[in-house]
Amino acid sequence: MISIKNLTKVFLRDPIFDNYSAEFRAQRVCVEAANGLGKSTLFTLIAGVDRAYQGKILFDNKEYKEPQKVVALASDAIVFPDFLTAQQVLAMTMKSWNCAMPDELISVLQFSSFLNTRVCALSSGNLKKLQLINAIMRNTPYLILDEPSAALDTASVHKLVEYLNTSTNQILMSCHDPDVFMQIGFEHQPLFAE
Amino acid sequence: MLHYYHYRLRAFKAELRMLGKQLEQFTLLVSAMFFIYLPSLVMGIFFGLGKLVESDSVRLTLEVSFGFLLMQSLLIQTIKSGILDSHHRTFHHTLLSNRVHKFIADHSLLLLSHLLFLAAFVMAVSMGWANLMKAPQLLMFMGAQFALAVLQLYRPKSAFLSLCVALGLVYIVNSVMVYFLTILAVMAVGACIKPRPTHYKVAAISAYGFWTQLVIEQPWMVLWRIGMSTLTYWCTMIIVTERPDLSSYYSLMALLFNLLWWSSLLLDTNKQVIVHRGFWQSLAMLDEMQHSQYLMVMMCTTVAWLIGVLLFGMGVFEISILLVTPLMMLAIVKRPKSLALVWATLVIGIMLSKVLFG
Repeated sequence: MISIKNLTKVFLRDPIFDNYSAEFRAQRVCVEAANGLGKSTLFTLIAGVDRAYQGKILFDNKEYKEPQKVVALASDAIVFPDFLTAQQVLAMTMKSWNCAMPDELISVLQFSSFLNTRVCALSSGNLKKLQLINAIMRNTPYLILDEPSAALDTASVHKLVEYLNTSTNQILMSCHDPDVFMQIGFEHQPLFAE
Repeated sequence: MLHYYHYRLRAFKAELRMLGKQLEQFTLLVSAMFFIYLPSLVMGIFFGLGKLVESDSVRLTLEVSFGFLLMQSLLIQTIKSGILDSHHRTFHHTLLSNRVHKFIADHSLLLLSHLLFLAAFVMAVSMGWANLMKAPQLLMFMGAQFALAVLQLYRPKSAFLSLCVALGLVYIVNSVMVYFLTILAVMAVGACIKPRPTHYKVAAISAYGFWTQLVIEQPWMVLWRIGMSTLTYWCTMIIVTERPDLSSYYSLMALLFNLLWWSSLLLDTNKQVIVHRGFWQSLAMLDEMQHSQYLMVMMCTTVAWLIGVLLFGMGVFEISILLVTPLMMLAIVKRPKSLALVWATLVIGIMLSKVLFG
């Protein structure tokens, strides 16, 4: 369970979250909100990528100094160095978190032939795949996927859904076309309660 | 097609304006500090070209030629993306049915902005045809200047290799014409070799592996600093030979310039830390990346300082430059816009101390 307590996040003087509280209890949650309301921002805060906020973010009632140890995030907000190859990016993640190369996932998403491609040369679909692989490979207790199906072809989306169905971690995601994810037990939860 | 040429000129001007904006504060400060030397700098260029036309020493002529070629490479690299309009290169294809226009525009803008070539051209015109025939090396030099500049636009690796050959030949060849003919031949071969995308990958990518890979991918950020340090030390050596009584001041100034070139490397590395902040955070490597960049830049600055000290000698004030390096680095990271101001303050402080207590 991920709990947000009294979160305040200000961006250029405009508060995106003002004393915001929420609880994400379900094992698989699809966070819903219109564009620009702060889903991606919230995800970066939960994942510990952005630390400039006030309030508390708890994981099963426990606050982490380094949340990225338990949360992996796949999002456009994490900009990979564009001159590295996909393999080098994944190698850095392997080294940082002592995890193995996710050969199965790479194969499932048909990404093998792009491992030696530089990030700057990846198509938007393949860049999304790299983000997903880079996050999922860590096998953290909490996984956050920001628009996982954006730019992916239909076949890849179905393969991703099948793969996620085998995972046991808590997954938070945002998606504007969530039907296919609902089939594997994702529950809708609005970003802001009614 | 006139609209295309208009567009290229506008794009070039826009890029120059942006560059000017980036360097505004720095240019202003340096001009204010050294404005009395600016006419001497222009005169120095023509003095150097004069040495090329008429000199008793072949070695000196070759050294001057190489110095000019190196300097022009640094200048052109700075405005290369403006000349080529690199960011919108694919857009050109939507306007053109023939690539010739693109090359004409490229070369016209290159000539327009190639100040050292224009200076040589002015000199050649002022000499007149009869005198020019007596000094054909100037024409060869101008040919080398233009060829190297064109090579730099389309075949940067060949241009770099040609510069290395040019440097090596200074110490081997004892004829000016042979020197230029060899360089031109090397450049001609370099132009014919199609660039092959080579991609060297650092085996184990870590914090330092990342910086190594960055330098491999963007070698210019280190190469121009090596070039500037070489030119700074080389010019200082010439001045020190001419005015040994002022050598301690000039050598100190050279080390201060060196501090500026190398500590500003932090601007490039810190950009990588900031732009990919989320990525480093996600790997819990943000602190490590920050520390490693400080260490790397400090190491480069120290090595360049050490070379200067070995060339010109060491004293209390020379050591003080090394001691203020962390201060300079801190200013660059915390307030990059204050880089010129901090450097200028350090220059004034150290030079004033030297005058008062040295």
